[in-house]
Amino acid sequence: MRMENVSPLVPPSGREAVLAAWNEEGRVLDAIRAGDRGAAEELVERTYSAVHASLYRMCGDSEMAADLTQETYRKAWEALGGFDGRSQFFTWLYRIAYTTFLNAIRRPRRMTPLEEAPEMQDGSPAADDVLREREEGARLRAAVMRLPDELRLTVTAHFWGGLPVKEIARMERITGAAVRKRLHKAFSLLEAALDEDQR
Amino acid sequence: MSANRRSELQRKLRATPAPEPPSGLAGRIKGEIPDPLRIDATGKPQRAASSLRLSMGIAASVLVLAVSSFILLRVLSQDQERGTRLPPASVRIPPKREPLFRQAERAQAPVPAPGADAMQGASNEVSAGGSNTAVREPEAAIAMGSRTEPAMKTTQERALPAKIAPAQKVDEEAERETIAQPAAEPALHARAAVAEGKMANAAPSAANSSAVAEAIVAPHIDAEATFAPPGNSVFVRITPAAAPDAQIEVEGGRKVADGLYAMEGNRMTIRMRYRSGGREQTLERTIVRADARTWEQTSQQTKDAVSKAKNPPE
Repeated sequence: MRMENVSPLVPPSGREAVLAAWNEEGRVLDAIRAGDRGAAEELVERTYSAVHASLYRMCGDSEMAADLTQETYRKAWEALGGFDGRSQFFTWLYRIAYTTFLNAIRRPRRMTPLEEAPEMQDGSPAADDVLREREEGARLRAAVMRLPDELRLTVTAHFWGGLPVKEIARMERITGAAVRKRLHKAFSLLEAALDEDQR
Repeated sequence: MSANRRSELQRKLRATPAPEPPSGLAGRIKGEIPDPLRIDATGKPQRAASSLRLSMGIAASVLVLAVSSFILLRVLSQDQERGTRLPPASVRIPPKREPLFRQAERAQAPVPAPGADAMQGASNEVSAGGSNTAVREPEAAIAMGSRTEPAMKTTQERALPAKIAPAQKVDEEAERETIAQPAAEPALHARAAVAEGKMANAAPSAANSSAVAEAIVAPHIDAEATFAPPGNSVFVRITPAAAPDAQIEVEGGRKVADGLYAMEGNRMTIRMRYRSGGREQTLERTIVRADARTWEQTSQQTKDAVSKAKNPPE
């Protein structure tokens, strides 16, 4: 079993709250377009952690998530001129990250299997509980990854990327009701998939 | 799905833990920020222009394809149309064989008198028609008088769908051009002159004797229909050719003067009874309204006859 030294796991709500409260996005983007490198670094500081967390939840590998995060920003700098402000910047960045992830898993590169999940550090719950949670988490991730593409994007963007329904609707150019409908359908499929796994 | 199960699933999804990013990741990302920042602000318009060019290219291709298909279909349908119809130029009446007694009469005929005015005029007119006169004479008979087949064709054309009307129009114009051929007129004039007895003592020149003989010996009905202004009254001038003792009967028209009839409906049937070889023969011709010429296209002889009938001299 592979050992990993990673930071303690934190729930996603904290970082996403920071992103939601960030309302100076327009100023920073204008500064970047004006060639301000400091503004670009500020943008990275504010967003990279959330991007990494989203990618980790999708791929289950911290190192791979870090590589994909780096690749995501590389693509973002190249495509920043095409950002039209239709959605929030993080929503746009999340779409790049999601596409980067899909491209990565289509390449012949293995994803982290269940037994290679990161080890918990001292102070964690009992071993049985930890194992059970890991197994459940891995099954859930596998079930999400087996969803049809548009449902998978919606679920991962909403629950793992922390994007509100409204932002997903803007990103996908659909209505909020359509996003909720996708989520409802995704839950039905996930339930069926998880039940199938338990048998 | 129960509400509890759904909320449990949502909770699990939201609670999916994620580690903090590896230390140094922010530095690596910042190190890859391009220096200087090259934000291509025109990227979007360029993409839009590229997309527009692509769309225009596709639209142009589709347009070219559609136009080509249309033209191809039109050409094919016209070819098919021509294949099913006899073109006017191919309408030929086989020259009638001269009866033996006529050949004998011709062999005994006197040498043409150079001073015969009527013959001279007729001969000149025939010569003006050129060497094609012999071939064209039957066409002339159709164009001026023997319009039975065109009349039938016109009736058929009316029954055809409207979509092939342009092709018919072209054919009709070609037919009018045939009618307007000057080559047709001399033979007709010669024939008419003979029918009226002007050439009773004359014979055609040696060069054109065969052609003129063909024109002279075959009895037929010369008929010219015209729209006489004002209004749309159709007058038909009928000349029984090569049969001086012929009797004319008309159905669907009334006689307004000698040799001139007014069409009463859209169709007029002409019957010519004459004696040939001791037996009574009958020729029947049908003229429909659509065969009538415009006043401008009408021959002067018919114009005169119509004018005279409408305004009789006091």
